[in-house]
Amino acid sequence: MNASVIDIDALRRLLAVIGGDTEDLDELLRDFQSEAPELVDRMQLASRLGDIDALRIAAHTLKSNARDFGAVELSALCATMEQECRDNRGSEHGEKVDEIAVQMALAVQELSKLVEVGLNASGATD
Amino acid sequence: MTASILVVDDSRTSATKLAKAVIALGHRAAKASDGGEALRRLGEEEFDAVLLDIVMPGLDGYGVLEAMGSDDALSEIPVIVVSSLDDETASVVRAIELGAVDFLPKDFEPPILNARMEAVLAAKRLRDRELTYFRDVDRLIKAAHIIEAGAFRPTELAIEDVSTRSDSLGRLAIVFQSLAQEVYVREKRFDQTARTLRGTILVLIAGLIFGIVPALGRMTAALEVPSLGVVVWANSVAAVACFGIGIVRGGRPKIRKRHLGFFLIWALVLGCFYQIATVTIASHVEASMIALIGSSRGFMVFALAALIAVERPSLQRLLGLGIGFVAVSAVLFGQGGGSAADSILWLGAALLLPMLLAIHTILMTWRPREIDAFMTVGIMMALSTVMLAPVAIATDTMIWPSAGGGRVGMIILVLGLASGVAVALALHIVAEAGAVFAGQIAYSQTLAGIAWGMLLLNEILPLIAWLAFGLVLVGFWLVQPKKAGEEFSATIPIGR
Repeated sequence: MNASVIDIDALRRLLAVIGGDTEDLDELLRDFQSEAPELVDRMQLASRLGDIDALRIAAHTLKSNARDFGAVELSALCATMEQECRDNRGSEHGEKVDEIAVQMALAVQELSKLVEVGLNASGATD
Repeated sequence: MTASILVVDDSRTSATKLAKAVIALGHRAAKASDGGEALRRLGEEEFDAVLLDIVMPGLDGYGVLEAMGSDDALSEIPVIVVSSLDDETASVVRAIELGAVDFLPKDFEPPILNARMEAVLAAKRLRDRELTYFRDVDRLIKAAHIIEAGAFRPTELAIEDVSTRSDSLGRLAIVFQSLAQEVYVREKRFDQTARTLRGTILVLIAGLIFGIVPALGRMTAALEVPSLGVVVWANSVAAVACFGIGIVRGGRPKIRKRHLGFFLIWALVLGCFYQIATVTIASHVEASMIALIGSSRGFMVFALAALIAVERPSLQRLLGLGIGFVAVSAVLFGQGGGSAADSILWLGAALLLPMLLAIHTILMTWRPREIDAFMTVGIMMALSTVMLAPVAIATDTMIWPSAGGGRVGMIILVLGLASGVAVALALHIVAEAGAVFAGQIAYSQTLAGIAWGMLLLNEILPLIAWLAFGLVLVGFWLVQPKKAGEEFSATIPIGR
């Protein structure tokens, strides 16, 4: 497990929040894995179109979801992006969105591994 | 206690997380992916609380809060705003200003969610009880206003739900409802007694007035004046008299096209067929036998009314009619009625008379209520005059003012007035007490006929007639007028 990409403690908290059922956590992981790329696509489109509001909303949503799944770096990048949009700072968002896309892909990859090996094996249910 | 929670979040991951957290606490959860869907689901289903994200495309959390606040049906549903406190403090403040009752950080801990949900749901349950209590108090007050305003029906009070409460308000509703029901039943019973008395008096009066007709008929026969001619003039007098009384009573003959059928049939049945049949049959069958056969009219009305479901038949009513019939038959046989050897054919034909009167009695239940009773009779009498006059002229039985002198004129005048007033009274009795009760006019008419015969023709009123009169009254009581329906309203006099 790449500790810099996924915070296992965050996953433990998430499992506790939803009642401790690993099947429910698997379902949530699948939701995240399918929704996160959609949000990045939306951010890339908004960046190209200069739609700051859409960019902010997508960044806000991905920030919260990434934090829930322990994707610390991804969540931090999204938080910065959201704040910049809110403050109307920074004119070139494309590079940052690309960076978010890379981090999102890493997080999704790591979470896929977790789904494959199971949370017990990764120690998420310790 | 399980509650129903609506989770509103545009992110399906966040929405699923919140829903599963809510279910883990033992509640039910439904999801809405934007503000519009949230308002639609809130309008369609009942929810105990809403977990609402603020930042959403389209209608955001603020928009949902504003819409719920301006909708009476939704404003009482508590909303917990789900927010990232680290960067949205101002958003939370604004949401609370718009009506949110609490907030929850996105990275909440289960005990925090549980504590906030329980606090919000406890407040909601208390508020729901308060609202139900206020609503029930309001319904009791409305019920009191209905009773205070005058006439009421128990179903109008609509406090059955309130009376199922287990607290003192429920007891109050039960007492209130029971008293209202008791008063209603008592008033309805009193109304029935009053209707029986009023109906009896009216039937006696109508019979008394109508009963003079046979005596006048015999007087006409003695003067050797054609009966049909007398009937034509008597019907004219009845028409003029009824129109006159109708105008004095403020009525106007507002005939609509749809009324024409009723008036034509009624004029044919009573004004033409019955009158012609009476004249024809009277010359072949003894008058007392006609009266005896005529008394079966009550049964015919009873059978017709039951057949076409105008009134509900009952054994008690049949018994009452039977007593009246036995009493009248006893008088007629006591007088020697039926002793003449009338042919069976003509006796059978005489049954047509009560049958026509029975049809006439049932027809009266379909009278146009918007036309005054006297106007109604006036129109029918005028129509029958128009129909009978050509027959009388064609058969050379028409009489003219010079014929018979003043005595015939007086008979025609009394006959016309008696017929018009008696039929108008009968209309009133049918409306008030029903056709079956009105059918008993046949009995009072026969007995009154004997009494009129005694007065006008110096006939002797036998003792048995008085006994029969008593029995007929017993019959009236058993037949009873038709009962007031659900439209009956009771009144409790309340001093102010």
